[in-house]
Amino acid sequence: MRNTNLYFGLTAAATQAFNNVDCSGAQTFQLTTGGFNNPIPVGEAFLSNGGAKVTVTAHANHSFGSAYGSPTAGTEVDITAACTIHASNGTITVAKVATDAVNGFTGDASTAANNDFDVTQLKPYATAHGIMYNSGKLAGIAVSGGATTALNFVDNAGVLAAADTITVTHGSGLQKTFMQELTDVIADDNRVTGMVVVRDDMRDINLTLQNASGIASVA
Amino acid sequence: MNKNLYFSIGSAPSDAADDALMINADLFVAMHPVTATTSIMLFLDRANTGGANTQITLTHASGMNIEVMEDVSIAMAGEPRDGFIVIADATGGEFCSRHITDCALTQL
Repeated sequence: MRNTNLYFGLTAAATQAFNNVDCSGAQTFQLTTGGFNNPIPVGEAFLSNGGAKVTVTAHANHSFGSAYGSPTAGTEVDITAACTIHASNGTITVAKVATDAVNGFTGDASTAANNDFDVTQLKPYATAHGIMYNSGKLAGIAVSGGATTALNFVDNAGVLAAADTITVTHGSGLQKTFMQELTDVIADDNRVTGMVVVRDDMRDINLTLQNASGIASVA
Repeated sequence: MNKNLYFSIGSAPSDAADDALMINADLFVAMHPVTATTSIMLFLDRANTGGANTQITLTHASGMNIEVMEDVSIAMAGEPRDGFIVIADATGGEFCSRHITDCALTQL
């Protein structure tokens, strides 16, 4: 068998709403540690690399670049392509149609109440968001509740008399089914290219498409 | 197959203590994001003292933590005849992922 690493996405996607944004001048809003996530993401390429998406609730007074067609008022439109993010302080700037005729977006300059934006995390980027373990460091799997199974790994801090515990929630009484699903994937070199997502709460991905054990979350 | 993972921190020449490290892949325990531009690999103590773990911090493009973890996993799953797998050789400019740009070794 090849080396296999098991990934667990431990947190749901962070979101922050920016309602009533003044779009009369520069269209900006700033992610905060309290509103979005602590820490906020760094790097100017975070948005263009798919780290998060920016959406706006379409309004009749909005103008969209040619890439968006003609969104119906009230629909949520992904305008990430119009956005850039500051390298370190989380400020997002939305390019106007006058600047970018294809991907730009221009909000209602006269009524801020018509400009509601949302930022939604798409990828993990901080310590608590997720972790990948070497399957060879899986010491044991045990039933831990009616619908939960605990996976004990070698402690990642190097403490010999300790373990890291990942708890997977699945269908009631399906612990053995989950264990068999997991070992089946780990053991099958034809299905594994290196990293296996066991459960990712952020992206809502499960071990298998069939999800026979009804995996629902991980912590 | 016994696999070993190679890292260097970019020193030129790479001739000082801990400028580079080859570590048995079996000592790898876990990897996770630290910031949007860094992810950390955690190994059992490479000095085999049972002490603090060996940590490798990879610097990469913003928001590409999960892609880097996937690329590292693919590299580790490789089966080169010599068992020598380069994860991040900052000195030689060789990385297992096109998103990785640098490497740091700590708690050795």
